[in-house]
Amino acid sequence: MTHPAPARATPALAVEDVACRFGRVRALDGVSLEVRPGEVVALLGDSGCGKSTLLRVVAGLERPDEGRVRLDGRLVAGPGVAVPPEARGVGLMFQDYALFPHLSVAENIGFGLRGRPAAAREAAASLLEQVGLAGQAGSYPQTLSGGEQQRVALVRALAPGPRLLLLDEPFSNLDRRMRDRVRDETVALLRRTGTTALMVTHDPEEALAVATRIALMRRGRVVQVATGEALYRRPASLFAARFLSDAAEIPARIRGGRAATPLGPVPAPGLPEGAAVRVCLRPEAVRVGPAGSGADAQVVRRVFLGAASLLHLAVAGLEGLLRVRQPGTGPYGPGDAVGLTLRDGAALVFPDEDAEG
Amino acid sequence: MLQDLARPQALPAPARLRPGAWTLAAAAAALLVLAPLAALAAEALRGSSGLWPHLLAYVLPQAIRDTALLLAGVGILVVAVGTGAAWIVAAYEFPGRRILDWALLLPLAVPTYIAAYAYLDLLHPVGPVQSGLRSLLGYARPRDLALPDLRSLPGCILLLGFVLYPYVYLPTRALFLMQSASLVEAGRCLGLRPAAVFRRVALPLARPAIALGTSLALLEALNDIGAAEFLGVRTLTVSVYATWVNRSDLPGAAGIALALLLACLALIGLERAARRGRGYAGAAQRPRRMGRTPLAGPAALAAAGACLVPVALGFLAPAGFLALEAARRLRVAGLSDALLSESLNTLRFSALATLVAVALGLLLAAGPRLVPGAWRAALVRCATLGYAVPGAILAIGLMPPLAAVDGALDGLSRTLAGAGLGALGLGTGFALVYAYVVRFLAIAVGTGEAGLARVPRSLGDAARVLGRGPGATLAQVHLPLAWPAVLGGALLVFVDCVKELPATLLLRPLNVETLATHLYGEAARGTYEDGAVAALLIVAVGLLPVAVLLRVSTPRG
Repeated sequence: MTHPAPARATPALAVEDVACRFGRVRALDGVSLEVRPGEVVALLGDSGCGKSTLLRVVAGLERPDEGRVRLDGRLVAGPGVAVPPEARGVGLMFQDYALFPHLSVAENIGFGLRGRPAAAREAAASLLEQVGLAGQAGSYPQTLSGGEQQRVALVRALAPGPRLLLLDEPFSNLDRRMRDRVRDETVALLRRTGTTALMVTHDPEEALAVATRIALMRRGRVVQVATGEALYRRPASLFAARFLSDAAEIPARIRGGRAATPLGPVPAPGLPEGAAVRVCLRPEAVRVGPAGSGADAQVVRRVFLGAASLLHLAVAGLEGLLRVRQPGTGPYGPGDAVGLTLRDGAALVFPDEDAEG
Repeated sequence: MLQDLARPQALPAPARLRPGAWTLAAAAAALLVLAPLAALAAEALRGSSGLWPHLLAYVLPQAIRDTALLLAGVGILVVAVGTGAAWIVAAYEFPGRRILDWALLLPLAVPTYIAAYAYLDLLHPVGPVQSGLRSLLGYARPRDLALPDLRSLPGCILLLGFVLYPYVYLPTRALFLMQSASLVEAGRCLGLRPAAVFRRVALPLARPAIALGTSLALLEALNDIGAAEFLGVRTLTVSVYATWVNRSDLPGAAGIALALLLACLALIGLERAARRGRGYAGAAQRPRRMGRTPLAGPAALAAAGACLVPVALGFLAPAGFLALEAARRLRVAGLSDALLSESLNTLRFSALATLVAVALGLLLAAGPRLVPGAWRAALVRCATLGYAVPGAILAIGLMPPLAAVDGALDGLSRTLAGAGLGALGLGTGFALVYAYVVRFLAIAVGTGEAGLARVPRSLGDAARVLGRGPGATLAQVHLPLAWPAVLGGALLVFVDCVKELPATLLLRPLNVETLATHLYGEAARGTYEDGAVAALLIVAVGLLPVAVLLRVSTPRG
């Protein structure tokens, strides 16, 4: 007996080959992406990569020139179809919060609830209570702190019960100290309400902290979609590797299926013999031991970071300094001779995008 | 409850692309503005074969010469007075500076025809000035003391110049006040004396403001019909009016109007050219404002005097005289019924036009924000061309199409109902309101745009995402935030409608008088009954927007 394959759940959002041009600039150049119900997906990229445009296309605030957008399987944008934003049932939290200055907190939150049953209003009131702002319902947005405004904006976007919540750089207007706390609160709220969300950010750390999956964007295209861990450990390109963290790059060539570096050979399966490559070494990829335990190096500088410290190392046969992270202050200081070895699988090898040929 | 909240709402069926209702409205508005101009051209071409030779030989040369001389003279005068006064109040501190700062705007409240009306009376051989001079100097008869006659081209230039200079003063003063102190200080450090700083730094930087102000003042001079006619200067505008009213020659009037329209377009072209090709924007940082240099003694007196002269000539003398005359008239005759009904007519036409203009202006200003699309801006520019078209031209251009529509409707009603409708468009004031709207739509659009520009785009987007359509977004988000600017715009439009003379003269329904036409009638007949009261009422209404303008044009911070 064979069971029919279970039908794949309809994605909450499906973006298919969407292109969007402003004059001669291609803001989106054939983007495809799916967000499954209950997921929080982050659109990660530099400013100008098209991530905010994609968010606006999904919301219906921008009309794509090509491609289709489906919400819960329904076509909302495509050839001859352009469902206006007010009829899409999505929530959008703006980078500047976009709170209406002429309306109180309660009126802002009630703005999207017109014509909804009383239960919706009660739910909104309960949300406001959960974020600790019940006492501010009568206040005007300008009188609130930045963190409070952020929470009002979040509650306002969530109140109508959107099928999909879009967040545009939701934490970028908060100072660093407050950002982590607000971020955790936001994630907790999204989980509790079971909200499906698509978030735009330029901060890899933020994407890793919030998202179930990350879509990395570059020049109007999605270059890799993966969980945060997969994206960090197995970036598909030099660009992805560079974007997720600071990495030292060592130019090398493939010899016998391995890239030869001053720190020793790195396995590079699948790359042609003799190809120019770059070996990316993240600060945690290198083990520091006593002199003679590996490649010879000398500590030039030690930067104390609190829980960890960063060693700047001069390595024989390597231009520039190699930076290696070690827990605490570590046993080595400036002037010490050390031996370096690579941790297994921690070094990443990519074809050299900058090399000729 | 939270589960309820998170449950997706039913999606409406996918909507088809909307046909662009806004684009249609904008196109209609542009058409409303362009129709009278097209009709004008058609009318001028339709004229008899003898029309153009006649115009070219007898009417146009003299009218064009007088108009050109008038514009040149008024242009020089408004630039000198407006820029000079603006620099004095912006760069120096002296007793009375705070009052003169806003008092210099007061002549804006005095329409040119009212200034002419007041001065003709004031400077009449048996008027107060000449009588006073004669008794002072011991002359017995008017002919013994021959003052230069105000009724001449130089007289007209002086009069228009001292009434219209605020158009230059207002933007130039704002620009001087916004100017970065470091530019002036750099000039001083590079070895320029204060006077040279004005000539070589401040003046060139203020060029766009001066160009804009001068073009507005000269457009106003071209629009003027009362002052020029009272003072016996046959400008193109006066010729248009006279050709129609005295000779009922519509093609002839249209022909002259076309020449006048060319002059207006040339003025706007000149203004654009004067602004082109230079950077005037300041540095990105908020500049430190220029401090005022304190003046004392004779210098302070000279500065105060120099600023007081334009205020006195442009406002205090005519308005004060009108107030005295009006008080005398009111004491003798009270407020006549005619004057009351004329006030009501003025109010009715102006209020109606203001409502239409502001609503249409908001729609045009808001459209590009609510419905994206770049080329629509061109439609808005087209629809706001009316500010450059003198009222007389507009009126002449409106007559043929409206008469045709009236005729068609009348005929239709005769066949269908057996009774005619008469002149529905031209006879009901519809034409007048139409002309007001076309002429002052640019003000409503401009203030609407200024108000909407202060509403961040994300607020409108937020309303859309939260379930409001474009119209509801405009009503519930943009309007509540932009209403001060919109209200200010409404005030400006209303006052301009109250002051408007040429279009009102030509398009008002038969036997219907407004305050402006009443004044014109008395001035034309040489009678002095209720004229001063009507004039004073118009000036009083005209004072309202001066306060608004002053607040808007004073930089904060």
